[in-house]
Amino acid sequence: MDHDVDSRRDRADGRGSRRSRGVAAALAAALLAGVGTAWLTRSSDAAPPSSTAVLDSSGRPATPSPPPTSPTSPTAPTDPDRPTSFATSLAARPATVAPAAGTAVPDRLTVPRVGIDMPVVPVGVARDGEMALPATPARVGWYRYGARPGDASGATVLAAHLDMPGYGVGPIAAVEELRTGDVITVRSGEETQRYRVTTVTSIRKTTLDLDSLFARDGPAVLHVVTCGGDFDRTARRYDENVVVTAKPTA
Amino acid sequence: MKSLRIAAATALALAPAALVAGPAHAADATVSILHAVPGATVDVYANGKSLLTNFKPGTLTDPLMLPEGSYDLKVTAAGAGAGGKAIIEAKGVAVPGGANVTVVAHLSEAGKPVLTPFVNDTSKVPAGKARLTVRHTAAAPAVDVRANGAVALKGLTNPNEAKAVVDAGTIKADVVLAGTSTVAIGPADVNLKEGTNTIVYAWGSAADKNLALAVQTISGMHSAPGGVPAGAGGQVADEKQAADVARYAAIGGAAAAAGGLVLLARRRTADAR
Repeated sequence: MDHDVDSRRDRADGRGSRRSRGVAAALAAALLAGVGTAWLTRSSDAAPPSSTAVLDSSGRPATPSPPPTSPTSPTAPTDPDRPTSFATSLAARPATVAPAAGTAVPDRLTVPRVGIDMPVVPVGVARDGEMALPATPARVGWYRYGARPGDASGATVLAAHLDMPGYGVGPIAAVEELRTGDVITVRSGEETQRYRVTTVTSIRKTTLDLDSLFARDGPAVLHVVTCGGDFDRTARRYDENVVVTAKPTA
Repeated sequence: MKSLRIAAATALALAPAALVAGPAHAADATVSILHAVPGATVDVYANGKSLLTNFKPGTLTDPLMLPEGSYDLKVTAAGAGAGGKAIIEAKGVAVPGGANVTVVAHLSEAGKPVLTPFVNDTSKVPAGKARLTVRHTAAAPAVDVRANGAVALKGLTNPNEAKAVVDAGTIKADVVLAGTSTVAIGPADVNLKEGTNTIVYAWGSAADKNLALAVQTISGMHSAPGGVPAGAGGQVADEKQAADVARYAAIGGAAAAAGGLVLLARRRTADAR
């Protein structure tokens, strides 16, 4: 073997440029193959989630909605000295406890394109003040103090665990593959409300605008929420929320 | 009907709101009126103008926006007219700008019709909570208010209120004579809707055995939850990490293989010479 190498070196005498070209060609091939592999193994083509604190660009009015007034209320003059013409038909109603409305609550979330089909259960607020989520990532929680699907205004908030010790990755993880225009369906008993995705964003939890996420007024909107970003193994928390915003379709 | 001229003690009740009424320019106040005098259908006048007609006991008006200022309020028998005899009259009732006020026509502890303006607490409550306000506006002695059988608010007297921020949900409420378990009113199911101030009035007369509860709900005091803790396993992070490791291994492997192939091919070419 030594002899072979020596003899090859001998033969290479005066052909240094040729050897350099060989190494260069090998490096080029390596680079091409590496880049090619990187390209083939890249993340999906879906628009990368943008890290922005702005949750919703759906044109929620900046002005707070006016307090509810009776349709028969007079337009109050600003001059208190001027005689006020009160409505004589100001409505009065029995001050008794009205029974809670029996409207159906959401029970199923489906996103056909990415294979999400999950039961929905009503949830409230945990002891620590955060939204309470079903313990299992197999179920989606609906924030029952917010809007129902089909309500004329406000945000309907659905959230599920991305993953859980002893369970693994939940079906909601597929929301990261959603793109603008994808159809989301929320069923409430006999009624079905369809939505179209407008944005998929990943937002640091520290900058998430919770008042917008859980808006009680403004345009009707669906927010599907899970976690994303980096995982803190000590706190057992992700540092971002993935928020899918979708608008109801008629 | 015997005319009673009773000046409502308004200044004290409205003082807290007056202190926090910020802007100097005129602002509207939100005013609701509750009729809690048993047995009399009435008309209500403010500064001599008709405000409300055929107002029945146990009913509450929709909120009315009134410019801040001082109002002379007069309650007459229905149809008596602006100049009719006053059942209740209150002069110079201060309505502070921006405040949310409920003016209650009710009986004093001694059973005389009076007007009491209450300022409603519309400050925010935490997510999942409701504010419960209880007002004693009945011709009855001091009472305790119980929620689900346990005393929630103690020793309430006419015309005062007590309040607390509690978990939203339906409670079984009743009113007992203070310090006893003698039920005076109820029990009744009261739905404390999240983000509301649910105001329960005890009204009527113990002597006439017509004590009852009236409920007013003011919404819009909700807050958003503190966050959405939607992942605790870390498996997705693990998978991403594993996928990254596999990816870099694949990239490195492919590069090495391709480079090696080229070198080998060239070596063979060289050997062939």
